[in-house]
Amino acid sequence: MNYILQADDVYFRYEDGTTALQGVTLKIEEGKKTVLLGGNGAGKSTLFLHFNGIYRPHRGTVLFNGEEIQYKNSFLKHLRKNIGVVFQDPDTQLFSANVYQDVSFGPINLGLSEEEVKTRVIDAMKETGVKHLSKKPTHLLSYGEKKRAAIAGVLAMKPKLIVFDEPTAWLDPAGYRQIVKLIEDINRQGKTVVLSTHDVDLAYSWADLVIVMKEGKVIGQGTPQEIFQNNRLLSEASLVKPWLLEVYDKLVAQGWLNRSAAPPANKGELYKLLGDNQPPKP
Amino acid sequence: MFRIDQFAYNNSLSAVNPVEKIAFAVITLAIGIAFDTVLVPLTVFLLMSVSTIFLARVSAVFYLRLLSLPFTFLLVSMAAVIFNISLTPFNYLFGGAWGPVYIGISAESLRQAVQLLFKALGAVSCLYFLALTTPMTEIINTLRKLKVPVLFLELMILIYRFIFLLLDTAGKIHLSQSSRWGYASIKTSYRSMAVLIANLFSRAYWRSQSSYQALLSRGYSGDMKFLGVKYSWSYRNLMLILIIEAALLSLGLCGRANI
Repeated sequence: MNYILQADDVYFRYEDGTTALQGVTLKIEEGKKTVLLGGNGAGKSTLFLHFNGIYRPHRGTVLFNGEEIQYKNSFLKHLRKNIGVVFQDPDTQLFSANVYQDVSFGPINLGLSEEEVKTRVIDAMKETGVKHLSKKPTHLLSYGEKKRAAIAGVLAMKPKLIVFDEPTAWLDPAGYRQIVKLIEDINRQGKTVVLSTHDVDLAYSWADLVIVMKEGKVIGQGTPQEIFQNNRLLSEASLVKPWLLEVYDKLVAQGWLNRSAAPPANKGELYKLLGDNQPPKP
Repeated sequence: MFRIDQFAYNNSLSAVNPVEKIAFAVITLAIGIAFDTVLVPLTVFLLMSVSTIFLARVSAVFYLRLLSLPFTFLLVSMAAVIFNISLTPFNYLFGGAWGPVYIGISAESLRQAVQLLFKALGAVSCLYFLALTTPMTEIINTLRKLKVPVLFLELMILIYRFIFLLLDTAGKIHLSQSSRWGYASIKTSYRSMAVLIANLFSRAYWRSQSSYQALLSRGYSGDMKFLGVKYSWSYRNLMLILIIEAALLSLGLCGRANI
């Protein structure tokens, strides 16, 4: 197994004295989908900014590809090229006047040729579906469009791992589906994806690995099935069960279903257990 | 503000090389204020208004509303020019002595005020033409080609972007205050406005921090560079600009003796 990112006993305190991280240890496997769960203030966003070297731990280390992060420009440049961060509020990320220029900002900073930058910008805009907005000023975009433009700006740098800070927050159902599908596509191309969310249903049926944080600590990690069947952990983290598991448990309790070896991982598997072999409509 | 920006990105002259538009506006502006006549600025004003409304197809109603904005300032400054105050009597059309002071309008001051009015209108119409046809990004790109220091350009980029963020944030605070009767009376309005301003600054500061982090995450290392859109030159437009400017210039030179 190749771990692209590792945090080893990371402590971090803000300048005003607020302790944000208290000994975080975790490993992110290359090519996988990792979901971070935890309430507001659990330290997810702070941890994300450790991944690309914006914050420097007061104690402990962060490792990229097994190598300890060095906080000097040459290393940070290499690190930020490989680890892209999509911020929760796209307005903090988009600062150029139009979409095309904004997407070009990252690749230009990598020192690529103009031709290469242009190809990457156009590819990234196509992939995120903002190509038709390329000349539009960023402040005239809708929220979902801003979100996708921000993702395009990160994609154009061709990072190996992309961190999404609450990518589905404030989106309407259509925008939600678009973003989730986009992140799925990005992962299928072999990029490692890490995202934070409050959406347990998404975490349950989508993640390879779930990490639960609370008050600056990791209080649990494992496969979605392991995490969401651990009732003690769920109540400690104030998380609810995914509706799928809840329905499954109810069906078993009522005697309508026999407890299978593993609970259904998604809607399709639940329907199959219920004797329906038709794939569910998306 | 938003509408100006929308027109800048979306007008019938969008595809025209921004350097041509900037040259047209700036040279016309220079000629418009260079001559002490009424005829030249008036021609500039008409030329630019026609270009903005008919060539760029900016809504005429919106254009007139924009023009009405500087009028208050203009009237105040005209009043200051029209009225002469002097301790010695002078040759006035209207006016009289008021104690030891002579106040009045002279033919000279009237001429100056009218000139000022037309010069200002001409100049404003040039700037409106530029603002309504050329996006800020293109103006900045052109300035970059003219070797304007990078520091200024980056400030322009950030200010341009953050004006909208600031307006947006202020709008949201205002909305939430109004929803809770924050502007019900004069007293509460003052209080709400004070809270709004104070909040706006702390939020702007907080936001600038996270924006900086976002910049760093995308490989910012002290130099803000973007890819510009390539435009082709139109010889027809360049010739047209040359002819118009030459005509304006000769109009100014010939008319100097008369008006």
